[in-house]
Amino acid sequence: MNYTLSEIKQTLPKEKNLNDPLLIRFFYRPLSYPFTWLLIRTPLSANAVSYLSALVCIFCGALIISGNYGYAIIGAATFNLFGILDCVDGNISRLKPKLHSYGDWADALAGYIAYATLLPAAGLAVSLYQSGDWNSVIWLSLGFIAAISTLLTRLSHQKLENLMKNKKLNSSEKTSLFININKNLGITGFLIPIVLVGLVFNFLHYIIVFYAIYYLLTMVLFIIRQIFIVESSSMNK
Amino acid sequence: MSGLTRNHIKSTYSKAKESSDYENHPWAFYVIRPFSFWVTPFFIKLGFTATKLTLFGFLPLFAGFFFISLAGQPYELMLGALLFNIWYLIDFIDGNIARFQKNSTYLGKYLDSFAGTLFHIFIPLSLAIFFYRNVHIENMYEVGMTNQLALYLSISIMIFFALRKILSQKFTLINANLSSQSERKVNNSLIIYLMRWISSLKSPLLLILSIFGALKVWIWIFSIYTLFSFMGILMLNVKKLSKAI
Repeated sequence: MNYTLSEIKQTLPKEKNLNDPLLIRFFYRPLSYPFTWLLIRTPLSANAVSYLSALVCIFCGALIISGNYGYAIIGAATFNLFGILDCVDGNISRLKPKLHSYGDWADALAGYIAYATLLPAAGLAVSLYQSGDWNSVIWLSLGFIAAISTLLTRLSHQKLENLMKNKKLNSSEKTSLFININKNLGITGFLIPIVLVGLVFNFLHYIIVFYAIYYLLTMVLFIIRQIFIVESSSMNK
Repeated sequence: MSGLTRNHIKSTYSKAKESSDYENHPWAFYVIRPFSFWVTPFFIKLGFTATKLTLFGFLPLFAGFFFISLAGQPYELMLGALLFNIWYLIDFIDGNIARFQKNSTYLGKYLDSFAGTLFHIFIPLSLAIFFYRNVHIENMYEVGMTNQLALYLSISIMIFFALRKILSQKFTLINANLSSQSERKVNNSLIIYLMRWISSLKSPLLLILSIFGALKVWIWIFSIYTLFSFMGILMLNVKKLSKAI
């Protein structure tokens, strides 16, 4: 079916738009409509677009660590395509509701791959283009620390949800200030553009140090908080 | 409580649990679980509940992590590896206690699962730190690997492990029934069985290879293993998705 741009825009629930990170609301989402208009005319499903966005991340990550500064900038800039495709798969799934099953999984897969490629690639990029010592392992290690910390935080969250499927968890979680800050600093927030800007203006090492500390602290605090949630629900049992 | 024996503990070990051990932790099924039946009464007599023992288990886990990370002598690497094996044993004992005392709690389950994740992360992380500290030592090219490559592969083990676990958890959350049905189907596969054997040998191999000073062999085995198991889970879940559509 051929949808118009306004029909595509109308499928977005207002509440969802308000909960999205700023960059999604004002940059990726508006850009996603023409992409959706184009891709909806192809046989690609929402899940296929999610898988495509994961491939985009791997390709861009490879460009960033290619050793050629020009390609690295192209890779970091093209990484923004992930943010756009992340919105496109949602648009398509709302337009073709019967054709998407488990879209949440495919969407999450792309997000995890994005974290696992961008942060280590940015770490290696510091060694390659900014520190002057490509053999230095500290920057790649910091990139990995950032990636593994955020992945473990998410893993811990999934485990808790699986463990307490039948229990209602704290519903204020989705709207808390911390969650909003976290979303805005994350992969669909300012992370991708700030890596690009850091790479261009030679301050990527500060970005990597910041994200390594931020995600490590977030992981520790998040796990402590989860233990309190589990402990309090055990008491209410 | 004074007449508590191995048989009392073993009587609470259900057929379903036995089958799950056989399929998921072959090393534990043949070695660790039988041994855990002998030592569980001792911990119960000391007054440990399952949750308390799970908490106590963090001690050897963190100690093992620090011994390997900061090792300066070969015996410190061995001691670290031994402590990881002690945690692995405790992980089975606390399950025995929970079943025997029928006092499993959400907190206990959460901490148990958290400790399990830490165990899988701490081994490669401690090796990564160890090789990071020794990265500039020259003439350390062993089993086709420099210290720098050992560091990178250790980190990749953590990344692929986290990705694999998180995707499995997400999938289970989305459709628990579909996941468990498909899990049963693939249980018959020789490759999956072999993968589980390799995974369950993580801590004993660490100990054996640390004794022989060949920790890089462990890194080779588990970097290949985690990459393939991640790809396997990815393809399996995508296959399930395409069938579900």
